[in-house]
Amino acid sequence: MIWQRRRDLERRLNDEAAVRLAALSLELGLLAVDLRDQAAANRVMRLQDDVRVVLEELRDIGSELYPPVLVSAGVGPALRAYAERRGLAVTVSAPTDRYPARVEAALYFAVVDALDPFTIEPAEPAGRANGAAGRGGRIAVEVRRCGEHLVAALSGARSGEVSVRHPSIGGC
Amino acid sequence: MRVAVAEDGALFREGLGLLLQAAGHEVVGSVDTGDKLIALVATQPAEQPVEIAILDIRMPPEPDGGLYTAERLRTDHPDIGILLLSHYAETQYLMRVLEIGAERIGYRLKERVAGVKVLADTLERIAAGEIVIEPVLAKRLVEARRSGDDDPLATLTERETDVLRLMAEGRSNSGIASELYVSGKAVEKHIANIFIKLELPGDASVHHRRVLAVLAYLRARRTES
Repeated sequence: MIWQRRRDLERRLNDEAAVRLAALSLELGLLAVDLRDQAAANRVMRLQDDVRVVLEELRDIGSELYPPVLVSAGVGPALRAYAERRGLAVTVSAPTDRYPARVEAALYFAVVDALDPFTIEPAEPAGRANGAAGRGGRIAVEVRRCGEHLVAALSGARSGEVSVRHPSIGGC
Repeated sequence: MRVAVAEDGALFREGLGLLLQAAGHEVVGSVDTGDKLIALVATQPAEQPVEIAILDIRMPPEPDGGLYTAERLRTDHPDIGILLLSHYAETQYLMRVLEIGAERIGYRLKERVAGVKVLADTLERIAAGEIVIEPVLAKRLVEARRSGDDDPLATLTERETDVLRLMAEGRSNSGIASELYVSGKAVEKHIANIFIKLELPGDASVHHRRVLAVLAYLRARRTES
């Protein structure tokens, strides 16, 4: 399943590449202490800054792949974190109950996919009622846009609804 | 200071131990799970307690063993300062950190504490009772623009915005003054203006209440229309 692959990739990014880079950054920090030559120490500190930039980029990719907040706190908090990273002022209503990971992933990515074009271009006109935007087993998510609201509703074995409000969602 | 470390990545754990020593701290133990940290803290002699515990948020017990362990630690040993490290700077984690405690606690990105100076500064602030918040996150919260044109943050001067960001990092008045190269009096004046313009509640002079008020404000403005 695609969400599982995404989550595995995020874990590998965080637990392997990013962990090595964070350790490398520490190593550079130690080297900067040991160096007597101030100019060389400054160069090492600049390298540390470069490592930070790479980590920042990996973090962005990891968040896109499968936000860690989705694992630890569920759909509502993950969508709020998504909006925060993009400087998007939205109101998110989501059930506080946790669902199985595949259901949460289906809901989250359905909403994010529907929000995406409008993040890039806020003036994007109307979206129509979209069919199942995320599927995993018997889960189907239907996304509707209307007025200020974007609603992703589960249908099938589980029920639940996530709603995102923003002045320029459009549609209906 | 006597410091205990819990981090499941061996490379980072070892590097952090060396950096702590280079910064003049004593590492009383480094372990790879939260449960081992609890055991380590419990076995320290009463006259030589752990003063600060550094915990990776994402470690066993999964998924957020660091937060779970920090909670237990704060309940059982409220005097121990806590520094939580993460690969991600998220408001969601910050809120959970603040639920654990609003004093002698910190939340920072791993690679941002990888220098002797910044590590020493972070630990000193925690030991002094402050809340230390990752500047990357504080900056993101202050810079997030609200839709619509009635944003009270837009009424702040550039200097006041700097002061607000440093307050959101959990800095004290003297910390803000030295960051911005201004006097303590000037900082107090800026803070008073910010509290009036943003209509913040409470007493600006009580450190942890002030940080909580600022963060609650910054968080709420993104979700209210």
